[in-house]
Amino acid sequence: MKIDKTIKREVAYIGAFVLILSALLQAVFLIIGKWDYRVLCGNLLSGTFAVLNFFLLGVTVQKATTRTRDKAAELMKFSSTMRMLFLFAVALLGALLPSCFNLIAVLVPLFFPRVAIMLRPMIRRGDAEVPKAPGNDPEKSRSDGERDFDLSESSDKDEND
Amino acid sequence: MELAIGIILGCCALGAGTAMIAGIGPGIGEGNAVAKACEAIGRQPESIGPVRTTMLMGCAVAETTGLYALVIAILLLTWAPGHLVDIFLGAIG
Repeated sequence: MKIDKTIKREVAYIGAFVLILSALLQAVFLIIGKWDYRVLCGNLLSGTFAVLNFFLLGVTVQKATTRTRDKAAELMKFSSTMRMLFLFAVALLGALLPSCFNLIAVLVPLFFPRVAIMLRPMIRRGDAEVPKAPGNDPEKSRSDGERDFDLSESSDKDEND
Repeated sequence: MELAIGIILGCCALGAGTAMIAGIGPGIGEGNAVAKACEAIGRQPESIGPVRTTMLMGCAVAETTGLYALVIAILLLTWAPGHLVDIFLGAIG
């Protein structure tokens, strides 16, 4: 199966953010004077699996969008359970091997993808201020019969139907 | 004293199990989101790109709820029992 360009782009974005936040976490541990090799190992383990988890989510979403409604929902539920177990195993590994991994450094990077998504609107805010190119006016497109994708519009239409 | 320590350990395990009930939610939520997205793509096949991106981000956010539960469960299973037993032993002298 060929991985979609959108998924690759999003995974790269999340991966870059996880790297930045991991560096920040290491810096915090250094500043408070609790840094040792276990912090680095824990961060590497957890950061890698956080990005891998996001990638697997992307692959599942790509697969699910090619299936029927019910099968897509089933696939997503199954994938969610499996990925949760997978993360549980990683976190448990970090917790049960205190000589190799620092527990905090294992648990915190699991939330880095969420932080990256939370910070996304701030980064993308600059894009909205870019002047519109001629012929790329969304209002004009709308009047020409094209519609921006909006789920609320679709649901309103359903209700009216 | 053994009974008290046993109760503490049992409660930690019970708490971890209860916390993981929250892991059910993201699965159901993601399933519903993807089902609706499939409907939307069926209606407007040209919108597959934006739908996929939005859905991916939505699913990742929904999954965080499960991660909170996971972290609580891990802490209750590994970190909490030792500390709670220490607190208990310190309290009774």
